[in-house]
Amino acid sequence: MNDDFYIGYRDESPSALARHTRRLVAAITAIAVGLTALVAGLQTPAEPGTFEYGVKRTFAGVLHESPLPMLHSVSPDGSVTNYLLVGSGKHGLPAFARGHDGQRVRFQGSLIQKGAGILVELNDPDSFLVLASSTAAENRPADEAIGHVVLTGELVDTKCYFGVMRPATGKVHRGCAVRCLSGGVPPGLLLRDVTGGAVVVLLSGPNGQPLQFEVGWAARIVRAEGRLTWRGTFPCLEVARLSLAHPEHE
Amino acid sequence: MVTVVRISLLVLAAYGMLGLCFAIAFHLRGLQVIDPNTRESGLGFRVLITPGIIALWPLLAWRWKAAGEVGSFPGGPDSPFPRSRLRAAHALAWKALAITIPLIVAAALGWRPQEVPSSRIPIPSPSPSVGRGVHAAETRDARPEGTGYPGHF
Amino acid sequence: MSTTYRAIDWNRQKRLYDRTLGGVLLLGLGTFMGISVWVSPNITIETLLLRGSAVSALLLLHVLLCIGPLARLDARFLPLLYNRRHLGVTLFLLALLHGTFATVQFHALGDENPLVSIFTAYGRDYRVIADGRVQLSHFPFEPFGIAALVVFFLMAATSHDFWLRNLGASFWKALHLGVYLAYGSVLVHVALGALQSERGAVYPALLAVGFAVVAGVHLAAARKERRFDHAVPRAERDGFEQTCPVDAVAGNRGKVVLVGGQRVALFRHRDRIFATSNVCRHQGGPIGEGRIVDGCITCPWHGWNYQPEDGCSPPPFQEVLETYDTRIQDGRVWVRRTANRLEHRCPGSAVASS
Repeated sequence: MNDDFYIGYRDESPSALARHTRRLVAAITAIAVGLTALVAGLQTPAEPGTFEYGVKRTFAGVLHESPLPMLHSVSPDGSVTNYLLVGSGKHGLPAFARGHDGQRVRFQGSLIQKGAGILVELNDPDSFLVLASSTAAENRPADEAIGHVVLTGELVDTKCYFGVMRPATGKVHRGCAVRCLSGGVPPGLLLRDVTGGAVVVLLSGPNGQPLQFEVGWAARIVRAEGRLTWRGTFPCLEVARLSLAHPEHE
Repeated sequence: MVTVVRISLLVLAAYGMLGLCFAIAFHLRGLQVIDPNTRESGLGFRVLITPGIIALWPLLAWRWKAAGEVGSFPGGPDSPFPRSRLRAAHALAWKALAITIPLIVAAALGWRPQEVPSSRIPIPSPSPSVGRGVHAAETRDARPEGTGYPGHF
Repeated sequence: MSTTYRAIDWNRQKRLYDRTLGGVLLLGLGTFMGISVWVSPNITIETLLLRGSAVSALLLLHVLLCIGPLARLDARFLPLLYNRRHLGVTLFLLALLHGTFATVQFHALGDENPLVSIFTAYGRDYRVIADGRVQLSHFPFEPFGIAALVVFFLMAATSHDFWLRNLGASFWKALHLGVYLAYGSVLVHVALGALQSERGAVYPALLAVGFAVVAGVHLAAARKERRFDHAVPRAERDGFEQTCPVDAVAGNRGKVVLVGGQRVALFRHRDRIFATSNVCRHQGGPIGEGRIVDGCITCPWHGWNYQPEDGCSPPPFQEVLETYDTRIQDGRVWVRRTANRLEHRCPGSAVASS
């Protein structure tokens, strides 16, 4: 009589019903796993990047605080590297490293790298040392001028973009980009070409000052106009004018 | 906006703290008053209901206060809401969902944020003298903990 | 239906249920992570956890929402309903994991309290109309996720039977209707977040299919219920209303009939017909779709028991169903329109006397 009546607190479920339940669970599992696989497979692949979280290396060179915090470093073989400097968490150059513009310093930090762009996260205040005065070879690097340009791209925070977060662009990451830019992480402009190639141009203000801008524009498409230069491996734009790009459909 | 959110969070934190204090008192005394069946219940049960006590403490305080007064608590076991009203609420919820969700989702898709426009990037390569690897200028002081990293020495 | 509360009244079926749930969840998460790493080798573990918890919570929510109406349409889905609250608590934990990861990942370690930052990071974009144009491209999606998480929390926190009894079954049910608010919020959260970030038509299509399935089974169940409730009223005599033929009530089985516009459960036990309220005292389950097991009316949802004669749960339990007087005339069951006072003992109507 009670062959198909389920009572949960009884040890055994009626056999016909148990069979139905097993089939049902198998079907739900198959559909759920299939859908999960489909959703996972359609994700936009994250771009490469490295963040050596928890790994510390020693860096030394001349610190330039403005317009973009960088360490200008010359190796014994004479090759030059410019490291863009950021703080831990969602912060720009930390307080312990400020006020040393043009001085030779040494510190430990963690490496962030994407392609030729290298950043260092200064996360060890105790390791920060001011060394002797800088030598001529390590003075402020001469920028290689490219010219006056108008660029349209996504306003990104460089710390996340160069490897801390993957992915580090778009609306979902926007809250993080706002916090990073608000915390002083140098802003960048993400440009893409038709072949899918991407490059981030560092943004600075005029007259060697950091860029003043609306952090709420993070992860939005902006138009930047100004003088484009190479500073080491980083293309930099001295921004004369910055505005939100207003496409037709928005 | 920031001020409003800050104040709201403070109010919420205060509500939670009051709830926590209430939960302690409730575990000591009120629980047995409103439901004698809890008398022999173990720690697991008490832990399990604590988040609910903290969240719904004004309701329970009311229930505690009204424990001696018959039928003064709305929705109490002996004065259930009519099933027809629940069914009507169910239907209303679905009507609201059926109208709003397709509209909002369609609007969200119609207003997808603009993508980074593809264009010719007007940036020639930098001069070849620029170093591209990781290095420390003061190699005698460099004591890298990371190993096997290309370009590092 | 216990007299003393325990954290969880474990039994074999609940263990089976939870083990199956855990296994399916691990399989789903494993599949998601494996394929994600395959198609996107550079993805970070934080992103994997964020997305994995989101996708599994979203799928679980859809399954959860379908169980109720499917059980109304076909009793063979009832085993899934039995321990549904564990699905709900699991859903809340997945949503909490997702919300916590997202808050830490995107808003912590910055120059603002992360909980403040969630709401204010781009506060200006709450304006749907800006500069004379409608603007939804940048509307924040986070608050909708938080709204859903709050509802899931309230539901999970009050999922124990203690709350059912002390808030009242109907109040509790009304509170748990909040799941539809949460479902709507989740869909808006996904639409304004992931759907606006990722390109392509498959994700929106999947979300639309999910919504259509959940809405479809709810609509089908609602139509079935409405057809029943809108049946033509039968004859009335001396305060009794005519219902179904006696033969329609099978031995030890229940049958739901309409009396004075209300649902009443009829049971045939030892060749007598008894009538009780159709609403279980536990979660409002449909008593009349149950059976008589070991001499007790047994609710199909969670197996709560009542004696057919007086509607009382067998001692030491204290729940009581309302009973109705019955009468058999012209081969049909007649039920008194007004319920008896609680714990009133009805003899039932002998089927042979008709």
